[in-house]
Parts: sequence; C-alpha cells; structure tokens
Amino acid sequence: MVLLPFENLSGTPVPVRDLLAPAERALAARGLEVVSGEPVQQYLARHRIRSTGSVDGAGAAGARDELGADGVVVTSVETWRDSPAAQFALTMRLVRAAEDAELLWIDGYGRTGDDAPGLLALGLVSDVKVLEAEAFARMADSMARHLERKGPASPACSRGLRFEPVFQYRSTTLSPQKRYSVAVVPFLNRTRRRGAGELAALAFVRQLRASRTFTPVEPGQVRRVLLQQRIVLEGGVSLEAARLLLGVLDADLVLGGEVLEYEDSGPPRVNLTATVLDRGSGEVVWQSLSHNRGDDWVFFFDVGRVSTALALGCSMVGNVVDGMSGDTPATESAFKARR
Amino acid sequence: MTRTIRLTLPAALLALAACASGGQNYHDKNMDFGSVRTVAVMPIVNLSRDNLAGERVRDVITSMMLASGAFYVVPQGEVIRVVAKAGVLNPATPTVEDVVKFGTILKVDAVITGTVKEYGEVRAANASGNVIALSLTMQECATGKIVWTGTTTRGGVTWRDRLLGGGGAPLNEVTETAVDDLISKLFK
Repeated sequence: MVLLPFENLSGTPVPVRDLLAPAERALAARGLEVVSGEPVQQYLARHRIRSTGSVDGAGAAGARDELGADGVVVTSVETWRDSPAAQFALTMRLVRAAEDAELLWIDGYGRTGDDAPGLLALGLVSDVKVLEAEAFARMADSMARHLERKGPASPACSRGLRFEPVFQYRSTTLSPQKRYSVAVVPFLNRTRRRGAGELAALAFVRQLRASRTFTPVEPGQVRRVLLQQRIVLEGGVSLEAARLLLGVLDADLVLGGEVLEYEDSGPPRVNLTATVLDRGSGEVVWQSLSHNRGDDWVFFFDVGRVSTALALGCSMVGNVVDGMSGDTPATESAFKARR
Repeated sequence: MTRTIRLTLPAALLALAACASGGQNYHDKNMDFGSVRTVAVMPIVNLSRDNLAGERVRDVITSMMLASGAFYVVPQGEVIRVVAKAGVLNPATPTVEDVVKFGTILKVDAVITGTVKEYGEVRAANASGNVIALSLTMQECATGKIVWTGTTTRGGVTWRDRLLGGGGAPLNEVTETAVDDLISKLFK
C-alpha cells in the first residue's frame, strides 16, 4: 500500500515528515508492504497532487498502475503537541487503489499525556514520541485486523447519553432498512481553528463507515466533483449544489453543516450542526445540533473525562449517526429531558 | 400594620416584575398560523459584541423549529443562494417587496428575521452570568406583512449566582431556553 504524506489539520506546525518513518515501521511490523518516500513523491509530482488529505479515483488508480499498490493510506493529523503536556490525535484511512476509490477502513487515535497520571503522577507522558508510537501501533493493528477480516471497517467509539444531540429532526422518509450512500462535504468553519470544517467532516465519514445503514463516499471523490463542477458552498449546501454533486457521484444523501467550536485546549469543546439533504425529495431529512465539553457530567476525580476534541467529536457524531440511522428513537430531545 | 403592607406590597411586586424575564409578543389576529408550513430563517442581525452570536442563534432556531415538527425549515445554503438570486440587498432586514419575491422563488410561506441585542457575559458586583436578549419576527410571504413578533431576555445574574457564585448557566443553554421561549410564544 501507498503511504501518502500526512495532512496537517492541527492549525499549528507539525513535523509531518518525521512521522512517516514510525508509521511505516508500524505497518511493516504487521506484515503490510508499504511504499513511501521518493517513489511516492514522484507519483504525486506526476499527477500534480498537492492535497494529500484525500485521494480521488484517478489518483487511486494511478497508485495501482504505477506503484503496484492495492490501497492508499491517507492520514490527517488533528493535534500534535510536545509541551507542556504531550498530545497527539490523528485519523487514518485506507482507500482501495481503483477507479471507485472505495473507503475500506478508517480509524482514529487521540490521547493526551495526562490522561491517566496514576499514583504520584507516574503515568504522565511528557514525550510525544511515546504517544506517536502508541498511535501508529494501534492504527496498524486495527487496519491489519480488518484486512484479515477479523476486525470492523471502522471501530465504533463510545457513545453515552451525555453526548446525544441537543435537538434532532429526522424525516420519516429516511428508511432504516435502506442502505444510503452519503457524500460528506467540508463543514462551514466558524471557529478560529484552521481545518475544523474538514475535521468535522472526517468524524462523520468515520462514523458513517461504522454504520450499517450508510456508506460514505471517499472525501477525495467529493472534493474532485466540487472542484470540477466549480461548486462553492457559500453559507451551506444549496439544493442545486446537492443535486449536482449527488448526480455526478451517484450518491443518495449529502451531509454538511457548521462548526462553531472545535477546541482542544482546556476541556475540549465541540459545537456543530449537521444537515442531511436527500437527492430524491430535495428536502432536509436530518438536522441536529450538538454541543459538549469533555468534562460534561464529570464530578469526581475526572472519571469519564474526555481529553481530546477527536474523542469528544467521535462520541457526539456517533450519536448523531445512530439517530440518523434510526438506531436510537428520537422520543424526546436532550434539551427537553434536561429541563 | 395595614398601611405598611399597602406601601411595601406594590414595591415588592414592582421589584419582582423587574427581575422577571418576560418580553413583548404580537400576533396578527387575522392570520391563520396553521397555514404556515415552510419557513426560511434569514441571517440574524447581531448587535452584540460576539461576532458569531447571529450564526449561533440562527442554528438553534433552525434546529428547534425543525425538531418541533410544526415547520419545515429550508436549508441555509438554499436561503443564501436565493438571497443572491433575488437580489436582496440586506437579507437580515428585508423589505416587503424582498419578502414577497423571496417567498415566490423559494416557495416558502413565511420568513423569520431576528435581532440579537445582548449575547454574552454580564457582571453585577462580584457575580457574573450569561445573558441573551433576542427578538424574532415572522413575515408572511404572500403579502410581506409582519404576522408575529416576540422578544425575550434570558439568563443574567440571579440571586443564586450572587450568593453561591458559579458564573450562571452556560451560554448555549441560555440561548436554547430563549429560543424555546420565543417558539412557545409563537404557538400560543
């Protein structure tokens, strides 16, 4: 498989070149043959690929034909910090090296050095390289298990009632029995953090892949259509843009939204709205609003605290996707329940 | 004794009224609100210091109206597209002609406009709390007339905050309570 250079969505400088070697070692240790370095750079130059955060059908087929690869590994670094406390979060996915660029596997890792300080703070991790090694080992294990048909395509993250959407609307036209293909577009980023819109979209892609009802389209395919058709999502997804996008991709639903908060510093905070438009009816079939902090309903000794925005977003988006698929009946909104 | 009660009771009632977070409300008596099925939420005028207050409040209004099941709310991207197509110069405060034209193109029964007057933290002595002051207006698209308007103020520094501290309820919760209050007023 081809290991693409990492995409930096952290909004801060990250030594992405230095991260390639430990990732390659972790994948190779699980018996996976990895192509990286100069051949990949030449392949990227030949195809004039500048964005390595996604891969479209032409790029994936090129990797198969020119590098003999079966899959392309795409990695997005969400957080990287080595002081004062180490912090590392990333999302890694495997895309089939073929014209359809099918998303085969996706998983994420997020941890801070003070997640489990333990007795006399002996469990504190101050070196980010420890977290990097742990992250790549977990990702490689998860990918290898899936390729051996022993693990899921996207391991589910913890849910919890506290991370349910505050409001949700689900149209009755969204059938729990049918399987939908979903094009996830980058969310409108209203935060000061660069890349928050892409991170929110990635969290949805990950949870949709874990769902039995939805099949996400690889974000690289969506990006290609947005660029080719000159679709500008000013202020959100319009019906015209949705029809055009879904028509070219032959997908059923388009998922977009808005990110108002995506913070890793202090207790992580995520605030987002998700809207799903149906190609058939041209109507909104899902809308939800979620906002949480990592320390919501945490009262004693940090039990249940979520330390990264990636993990928090994963739990929140997981609940949203459960609601979309009809796995959790929307009897009462969390807002009403709270009141 | 009776004289004391006579003097203090109105003063106490006045003080209580000053603390209440009510608001004004207007319904057009000739309007059949049951006929309003599809609405568009326009960008909200933001008079507060928080640059994102308008977007935050609009997201809550849209989600809450859809979740109520009483209205279908047109997606924001479609509203922005039609605003440009209809040539609406100031979508936050549209003219009667704008509303009629907008409603015809977008096929909506009414548009919701609004103003955020206060949004954020307020302080009183050593205590602090989050406050929102919001007004919403519904304009019917057939005539462009204002058929409903409501205002509300929620949050602020309470006696509990003064005595126990804590900074009051989070701003997101205060916003949701305010919008819920306004939607309840609309349905009354």
